[in-house]
Amino acid sequence: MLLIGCFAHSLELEQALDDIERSGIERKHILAVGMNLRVDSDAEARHSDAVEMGAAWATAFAVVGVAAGFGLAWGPIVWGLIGATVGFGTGFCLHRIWLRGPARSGTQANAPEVTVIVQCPDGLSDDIRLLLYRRGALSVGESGG
Amino acid sequence: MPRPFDRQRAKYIHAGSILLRIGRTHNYCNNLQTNAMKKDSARTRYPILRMSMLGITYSSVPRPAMVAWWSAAFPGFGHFILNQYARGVLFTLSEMLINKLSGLNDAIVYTFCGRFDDAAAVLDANLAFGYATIYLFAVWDSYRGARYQGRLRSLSAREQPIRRMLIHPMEVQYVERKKPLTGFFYSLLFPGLGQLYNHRFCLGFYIMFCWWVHIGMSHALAAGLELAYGTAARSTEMLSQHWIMFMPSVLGGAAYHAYRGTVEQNKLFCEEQRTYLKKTYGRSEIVIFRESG
Repeated sequence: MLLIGCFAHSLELEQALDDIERSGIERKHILAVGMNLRVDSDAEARHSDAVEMGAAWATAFAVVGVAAGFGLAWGPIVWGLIGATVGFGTGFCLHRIWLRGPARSGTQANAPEVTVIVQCPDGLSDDIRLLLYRRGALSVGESGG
Repeated sequence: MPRPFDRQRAKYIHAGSILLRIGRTHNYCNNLQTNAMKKDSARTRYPILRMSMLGITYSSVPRPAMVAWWSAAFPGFGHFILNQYARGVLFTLSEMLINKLSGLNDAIVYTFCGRFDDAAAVLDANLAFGYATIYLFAVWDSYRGARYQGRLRSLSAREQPIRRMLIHPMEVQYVERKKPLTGFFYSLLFPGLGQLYNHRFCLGFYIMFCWWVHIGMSHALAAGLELAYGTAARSTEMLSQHWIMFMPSVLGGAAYHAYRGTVEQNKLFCEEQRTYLKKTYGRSEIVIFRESG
């Protein structure tokens, strides 16, 4: 019987594989394949995302806000906060709408990044399935025989 | 002259203790393996990561323009993003010192308030020229550093062994997968905490120390309370215009640095695990389709 589990890269995944081996499945009956979310997976970490653009613009606007705030009625703190908010919005929207970039360049939450296939005797399949779920599997499927 | 292995084996046979022999041979093989690994990493021309007591240092791949901007916001922060911590600390210290001595932040405030004569009067001309030169150098140097590190990283061999964990007498360090926004918000609350979240504890405490100095010298929190419960005019009077001008850059720079560091460390975590899985579970004998007949 084949059990197929989808995981995110995590320490729990390694615990799951360890548990499977401890429960008596041989290593040669386990297959773990890393999945790429995009064609060019290296590009992910290279590009800045909307949060980074927001932080950069917020800082620039906040500096101007604080400096100009000394001559304005509400004072530097309020104008600094206004500058930071407007700046973050400007950078974030600029990146999302104009450059059509992602909001967050880190990997998507709960994306299936690793597929684990286990060949196990029918008697053990219930235990292994529970074990996969307990160790953070996003989804588990099985194929009889 | 027998090889050390032969000599040792002969000794074990002489001793006649099977247990001892198994133990020692196992140790010997382990040593052999670690030596091979050491040689391997020394042979790597473009290593990706080095783990030390201070945390993880790696060749980073941020956008060069972004690095240049953080150097412009606060000279030294661009170098922090590039994992060049020693020069980053020296740049930030010299920035704070020369800026204070030359009165640059006060001049910036006067300029944005339209008081140009005051701005010209407060600026120390002797220091301003050197300040501008070093400032522009920091921006340019971090920009080209970012481009070069990106190229070095693309030359780094795929699937090279990345160290996952280090136990040092004073520290335990490891590559961990974390949430980028958590570090971002912690550094917004108090700059330095996001760096601690990323296990860069020396940088974290350095930035926290700087932030305490900025809070103490600018009276920002007391002025914030006055703003909430008193009057805006009194709150503005309480503030030191020189010191509060540093604060947005430190906040933004620390938040960005924490965010970027988490994103890159997560990437390293995934790469390492992928290599491990391929090596350990890549040679499976699983048969999915049985040949019929």
